[in-house]
Amino acid sequence: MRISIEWLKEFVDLKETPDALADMLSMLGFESKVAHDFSLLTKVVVGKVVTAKKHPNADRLKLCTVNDGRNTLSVVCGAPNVDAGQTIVFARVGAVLPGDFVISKAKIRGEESRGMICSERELGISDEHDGIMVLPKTLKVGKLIQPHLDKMYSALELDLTPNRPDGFSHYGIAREVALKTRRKLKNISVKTLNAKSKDVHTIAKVTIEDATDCPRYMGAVLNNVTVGPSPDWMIERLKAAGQRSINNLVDISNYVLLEMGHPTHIFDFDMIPSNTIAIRRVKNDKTITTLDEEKRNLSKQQLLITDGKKPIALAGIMGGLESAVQDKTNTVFVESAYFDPVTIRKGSKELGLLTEASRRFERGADVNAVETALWRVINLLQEHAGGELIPGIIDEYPGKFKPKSISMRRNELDLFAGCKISDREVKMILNGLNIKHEKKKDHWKCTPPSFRPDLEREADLIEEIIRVYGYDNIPSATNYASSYLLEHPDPEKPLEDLRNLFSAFGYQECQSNTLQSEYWTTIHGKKSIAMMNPLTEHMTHMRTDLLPGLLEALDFNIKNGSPDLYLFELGNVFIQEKKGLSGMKEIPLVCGLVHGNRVSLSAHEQAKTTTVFTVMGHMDRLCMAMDTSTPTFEMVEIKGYQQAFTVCVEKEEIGVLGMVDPIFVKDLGLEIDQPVHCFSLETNKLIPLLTNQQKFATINVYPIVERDVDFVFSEEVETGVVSQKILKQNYPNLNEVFPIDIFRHKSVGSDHKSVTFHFRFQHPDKTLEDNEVSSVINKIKRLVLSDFDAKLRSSN
Amino acid sequence: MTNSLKETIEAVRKSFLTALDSFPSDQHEIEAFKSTYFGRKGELAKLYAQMGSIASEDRPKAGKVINDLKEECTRLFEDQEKKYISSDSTQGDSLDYTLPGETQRLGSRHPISKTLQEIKDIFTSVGFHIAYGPEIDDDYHNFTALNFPQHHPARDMQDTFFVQKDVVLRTHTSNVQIHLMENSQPPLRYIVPGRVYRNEAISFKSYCLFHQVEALVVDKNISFGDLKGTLEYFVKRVFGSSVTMRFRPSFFPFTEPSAEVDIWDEKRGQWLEILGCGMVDPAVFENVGYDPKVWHGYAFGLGIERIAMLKYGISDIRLFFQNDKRFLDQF
Repeated sequence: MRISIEWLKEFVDLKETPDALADMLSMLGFESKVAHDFSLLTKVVVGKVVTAKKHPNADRLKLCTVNDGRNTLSVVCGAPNVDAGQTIVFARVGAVLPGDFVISKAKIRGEESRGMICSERELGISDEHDGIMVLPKTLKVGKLIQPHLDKMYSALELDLTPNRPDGFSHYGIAREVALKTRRKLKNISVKTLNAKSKDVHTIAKVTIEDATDCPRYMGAVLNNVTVGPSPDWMIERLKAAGQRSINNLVDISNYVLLEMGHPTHIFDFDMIPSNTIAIRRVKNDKTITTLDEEKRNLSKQQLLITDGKKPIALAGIMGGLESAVQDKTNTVFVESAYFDPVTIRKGSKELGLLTEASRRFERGADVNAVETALWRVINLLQEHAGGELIPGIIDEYPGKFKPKSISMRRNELDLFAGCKISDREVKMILNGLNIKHEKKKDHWKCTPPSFRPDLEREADLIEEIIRVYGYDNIPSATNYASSYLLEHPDPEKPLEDLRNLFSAFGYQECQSNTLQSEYWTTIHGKKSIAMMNPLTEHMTHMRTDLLPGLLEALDFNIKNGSPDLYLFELGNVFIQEKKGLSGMKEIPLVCGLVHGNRVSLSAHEQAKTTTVFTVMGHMDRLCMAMDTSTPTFEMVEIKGYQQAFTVCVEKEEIGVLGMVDPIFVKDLGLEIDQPVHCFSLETNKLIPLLTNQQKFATINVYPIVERDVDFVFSEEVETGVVSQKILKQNYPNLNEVFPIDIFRHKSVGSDHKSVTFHFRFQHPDKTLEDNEVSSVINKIKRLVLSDFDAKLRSSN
Repeated sequence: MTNSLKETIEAVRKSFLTALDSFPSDQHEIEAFKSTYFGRKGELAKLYAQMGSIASEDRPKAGKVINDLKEECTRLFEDQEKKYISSDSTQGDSLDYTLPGETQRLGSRHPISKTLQEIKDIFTSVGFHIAYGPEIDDDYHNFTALNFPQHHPARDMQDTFFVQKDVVLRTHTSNVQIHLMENSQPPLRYIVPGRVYRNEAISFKSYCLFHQVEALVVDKNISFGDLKGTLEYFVKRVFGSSVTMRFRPSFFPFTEPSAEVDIWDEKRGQWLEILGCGMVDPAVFENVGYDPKVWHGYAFGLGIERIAMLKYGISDIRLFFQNDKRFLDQF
């Protein structure tokens, strides 16, 4: 909402600068900022058009001479309304207009132009750009324009919260300023002549079907109105508040809306020959064409204003085109009503039509403002449109507003605030808020005004007291620490460990979008969860896997020159397992991928590429960090993987790893040529492992004896199987077995390989003798030779 | 000198030069290569051995030819061998200490999880527990129970993704407030981090999802002063003790009084909003069956991205979700 400072001054004295006023309102809960800064217009002055002739070389341009107070300059102007004798806003050469637009000397179609005659848009006042801005002749030529613009158009831009419908008007904001500064708030005065006359009832009839939908409806009829331009002061005020002038009738309704916040509507009464206004829900009505010339479909949700038969307006939202005022309008019916917020909200939501009127009604209008607004419109029509009131007004008020009394307890106020706000202060604030109150022994009996529908409970009143008292005046408590039992404050602490672990392995943590396309989320037959109202066609579903997001990140980085990547992400994936909310499963996963080189080429070493063993190595290290058994990998077939293995720890499958299927990458629409290896683990299975209480084990200080043995195997023998077999025998003092070299050469024989196994022996309480180790080595040799059809390389 | 010796010498040269074309890279093979030509039983030694069988007047000339060949071969061999050795940076007497160190892989934490970790540390240090909850929830827990009436403009404050008519992607982690209170008895003192969703056009300042930390404290005597004290402590821990902050009245359906907290940005000369907070609205307590006459509390919510953006000087929220290595490398 834009608030004109000049307009505000009609209701409250203001000494503050626009900045200080914006700050004051912000600290009252109306977030504000200054709308214009005219102080930048240092070379923009009041000018006078001396002559204006057609440009010799262009039909649509005019060649003018402008007096800027110093010289008379030649200026080319494209505005159709420029004319000799006008006082105008003149930007001298060198002036900077909003948007950093610098005015320079120019030649336009062969004619020199030394400066610019400005439109409102060029000055940032409004969107008006059809013509130049014409100033009152009283302004002195040559003076800077800034003081005039400041006076007329200084404004604040307010971001209003939905609980404060009273903030949607100049009067409402003035009330808050008066309250905070303790200055006097001036009244909106109306002249209510012949209010009690019955004449109007012979001409117009109003019926209300449902008092809940429409608790109050007032109307008046004026004859002989003349449609024409509004008075200048009204045009200027509307402009300052960001509203464009249409004609006097429309402007008057808008003016009252911006002034006091109450929406009114003016019908062309000649277009309602039934002379009846009936407010009811949609029955068999199908459509209505609204003011904006849109044909709108109706449903039972809509509340209508009808002429007794057909709809003539959408109540509280927008008028109909047929009954709208036109240039030839002569008799008008003025509507001022209170409509139910929920009814208006539902109707406006369903139509997708949010208007200045609906915005105010759905937040809750002031039932007592209905009458003032009606008289305000009548008075303005009498004054500025020549309207003659048919004596009397209509006031159908079936849903009488009953003020509610609320008690605000002193001890509850003290408890909320954390400090004592004096009785005197409370009284002053309640008065400023127009809340009627009576001080009792331990509480105040309060009755809020009708323009504050948000004040319904004790808490609402306490908030008002603290808000106006000032949040900054509430002392901050310093005992913010507590001694609640804190054994395990963070159930996801293990995940922090996991993040640290993977980043220690060299992985970079990612965060990818949960919202993906249907194709991405269902590619492997998973049932994904769809949005009813997606943001874009690429974000229609919830992710069912973390890998596509990481692959997308990989693709992005390869294209930006970083192909060597380790990436990981922790996050939820979402699967629709069964119907309904309870069938939507949120599964936390940790997923990672490696791509490109593990070691990059340098003066020290050759590049080494990542392989599936890179990922397996990380799984080993993960298990070492969790102090569990080493993981085992079993080859399986999984969609999306060219080669996949389950990862088992402590006999439980915790996830999978493998090489990503290039076809999968292609199906995702990504371009990754090199192999990608990845892992995906279930976080819920890792958490108990990560939470294991690790216990210190005594360090074995006795020397380790190491031996290497070369075996020749047929190619199909798997080294892991050999190691496992050896370990299973539980040979005394044998702690570790692993292959350290694989050698293929014709000397070994085709389809054969020579594998060097490394053995580490250690005794817990003594130094091992050579023969103790040798006897085990011999047993191992015999075992391997017989069970795996191997040979010893040395004996080859 | 006989023709046959000449031919033998030429044959050795040719064989040597051919072998040189496929010079081995393995230390053992280089040794083998060396002994094939220069060894005691090598090709060159064999040539010298033939000296005895030629005429004595021819010997000096033949000797010179063989010597020349040996010199040539030795020079070529050593050149090749040097190439091999020099490719190992740590070999030789003249180690070049200006070479860059060996490249090490460096992982990184995402700035969101890093900032969250910091926030968690601050709050656990003053007695907060941490709770988590669902990202997909029913309308009741995300809105209605938090005092967002079904047909109220407050619903417009958060653009919502709907999965079904009454099922939403949570727009804040405040849904966990309700779950917590439904499942436990006061007093409570929790922060709730998590991913939240808003159906807003993506731009440099808004994304369709972000991360939030919400806090809930419920006890018998909790005041607005307690809320202020806690948040002042938090803001000073994150942004430094010299930060200027203010509590500005605002509106959230589930708190009353409500406030937004701004910090002063000296560089831009303006206030920047960093979080929203307030005293728990009694309607929320009623919805979970707590007696609002007995229990009071406060709640606040902050965007992790917003804090990270201010802390690190990031101006485009989309960077958090692009996973650009050039971005991730900086944390």
